[in-house]
Amino acid sequence: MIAAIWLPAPWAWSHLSFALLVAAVAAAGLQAWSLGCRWLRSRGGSEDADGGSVDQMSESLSKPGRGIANRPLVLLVVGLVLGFLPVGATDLSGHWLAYTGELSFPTLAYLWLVTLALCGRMTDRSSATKKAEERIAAESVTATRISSSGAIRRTLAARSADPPWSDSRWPERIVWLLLGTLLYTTALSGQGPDFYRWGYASTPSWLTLLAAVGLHWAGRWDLAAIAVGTVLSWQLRLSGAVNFWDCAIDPLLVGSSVVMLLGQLVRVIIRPVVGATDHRFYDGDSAAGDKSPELA
Amino acid sequence: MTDRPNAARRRFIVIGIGVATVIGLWRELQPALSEPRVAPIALRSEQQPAPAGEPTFIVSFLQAVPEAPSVHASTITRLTGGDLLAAWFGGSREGAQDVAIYLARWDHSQQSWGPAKRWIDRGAATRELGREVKKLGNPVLHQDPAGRIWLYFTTVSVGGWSGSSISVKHSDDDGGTWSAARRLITTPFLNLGTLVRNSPIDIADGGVLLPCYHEFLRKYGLIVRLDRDGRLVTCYAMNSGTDALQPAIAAESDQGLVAFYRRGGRTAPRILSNRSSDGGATWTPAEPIVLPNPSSSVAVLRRHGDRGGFLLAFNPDEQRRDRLALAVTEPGGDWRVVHTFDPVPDGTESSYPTLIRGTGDEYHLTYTWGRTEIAHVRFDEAWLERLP
Repeated sequence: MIAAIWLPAPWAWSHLSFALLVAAVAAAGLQAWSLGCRWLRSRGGSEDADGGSVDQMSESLSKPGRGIANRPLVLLVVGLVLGFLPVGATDLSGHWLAYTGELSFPTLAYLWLVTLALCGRMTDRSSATKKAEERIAAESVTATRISSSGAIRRTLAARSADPPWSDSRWPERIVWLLLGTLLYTTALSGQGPDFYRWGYASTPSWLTLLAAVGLHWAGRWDLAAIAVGTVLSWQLRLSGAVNFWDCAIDPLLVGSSVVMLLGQLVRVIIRPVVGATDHRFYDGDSAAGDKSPELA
Repeated sequence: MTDRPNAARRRFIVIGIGVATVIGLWRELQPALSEPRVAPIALRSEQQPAPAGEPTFIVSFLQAVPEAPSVHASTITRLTGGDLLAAWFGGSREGAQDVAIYLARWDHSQQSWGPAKRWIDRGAATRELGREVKKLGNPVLHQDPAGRIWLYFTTVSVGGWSGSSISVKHSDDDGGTWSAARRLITTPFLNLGTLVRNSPIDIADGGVLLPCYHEFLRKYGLIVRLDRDGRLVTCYAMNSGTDALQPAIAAESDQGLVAFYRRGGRTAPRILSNRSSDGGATWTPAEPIVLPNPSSSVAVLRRHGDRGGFLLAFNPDEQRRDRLALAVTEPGGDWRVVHTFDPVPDGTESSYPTLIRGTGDEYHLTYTWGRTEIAHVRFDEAWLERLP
């Protein structure tokens, strides 16, 4: 009975995966188009209120507008509709998913965050920091407290809504990379410990839930939500996968983490460190820079 | 960031953690997964062997299909009433996009095969699975103790055979109507590389142990454990090294299994074998046995009766697939080649055998005959007993 109820779940999951992919790619494309147009206008000497400087262009990422490029739900619906377009014996999403397989929950969450960030549905992080400082001042928090666990939590919280492409997310990328390496090498080698098989048991889900509690405490609400969503998607068999790791990680996530880490590494190598800014967390993001947005 | 959204997020996550914890605890309260135990039917016939009389040894051929000049990888299972159901893939050539899986039914009362039906092609598989399928591969038929017919088959969406995955359909009316296909997710890397070739073994909880193999990067055996509804429960690695594929398994006891593998291209030209004493959860390292193997599929079957012993169908050559032979062994004994089937006149392939037990003391063997036809051999214990 339960199986009959949940039969459509993997089908819905597949279409949602495709729709989120389309939404993220479309948001990136529209944003690039918009920035390119403004840059051309500024080069042509016809600066307007929106397109006068690079700072303003970057800032536009954190300002929700009225066009389709700033409406993530519209882009998602467009993705859903495109996914149902019949192509041959199946639809467009079926062709795409033949190559990507079922996407994991974290990938879907990151794709949605990418769409949100590109659509300007995140507020500027500097303003969030300013508000946090005002709150701290209002609460008469002492410097000592700020520098202890409160500072850690505040720092983590400030990072919590950085866009998915931000360099500040390097620790989670390392986690995906290590997890993927461990999983794929043991599962595909046919020898040694079978780490993938461990995913049929409930232990990894409990550990992930524990991590969610920790992340929630630390103020990393986005990662906490991803962890909880991963566990729920596995428990409810939303993607059809029985193995926890199929819900927690996929090659797209590992691959994009590798590419971003390599890019970050190259930037660190070729660019001299300037000033005392905490580059580990806040620097090096060309798109966001000092304007890394915070979710509204 | 304002306080209100923050509070909402906190609440949302706390609720999520709570729900996940409750579901997790509920799942923990369910009966734990036990080591698989072989179903009695896998160990002994449900019918007593018929008294030894005139030996039976009859060779017939399944009806050819003009649209599928190249056929391969047959599989067979019993139906109720003594009928049989066979499946194989056919098309212009192996791996072509026009390859479909065909079904044919053996009428026990007529003692003959009915016409072959095109059962599923890549278009139908694409529609049913909701994703592009480029080609179809090995099918495996199996009737479970409840009488439901299962058909596991290989589909390829990306690349060659190493890009395969396994799909499954079932029928509750002896193959009259079939459920929609669904995929089994068996590997973490895009679910690539898992194929099926040989028949599963029924286990006591109503599920099966389906022998599969992996071809992506490395070649190794894999047991996929399915429940009575065909849902994947877990997978067991078969410790077969990295150059063994197409495992064929048989039960030695309620938790004792033996597996025989086609060797890959890098190891000695011998059939590989290993054993499990815990229902397939763990396996001894695979070792070559005395029988040769030209990198071709083998089939193994526990014999009728309670005495144990196995039948093995294989190609008795290190290089060529032109002959097919039958070997027998008694418990604890050595393999003895008892029969070699007539080769195809033009010296082409006789390969990819499938063995099942029939009614009474009969056995059924199907195999690829020259890649143009599927041969069916009926023989019985009396025939086996008379062999030297």
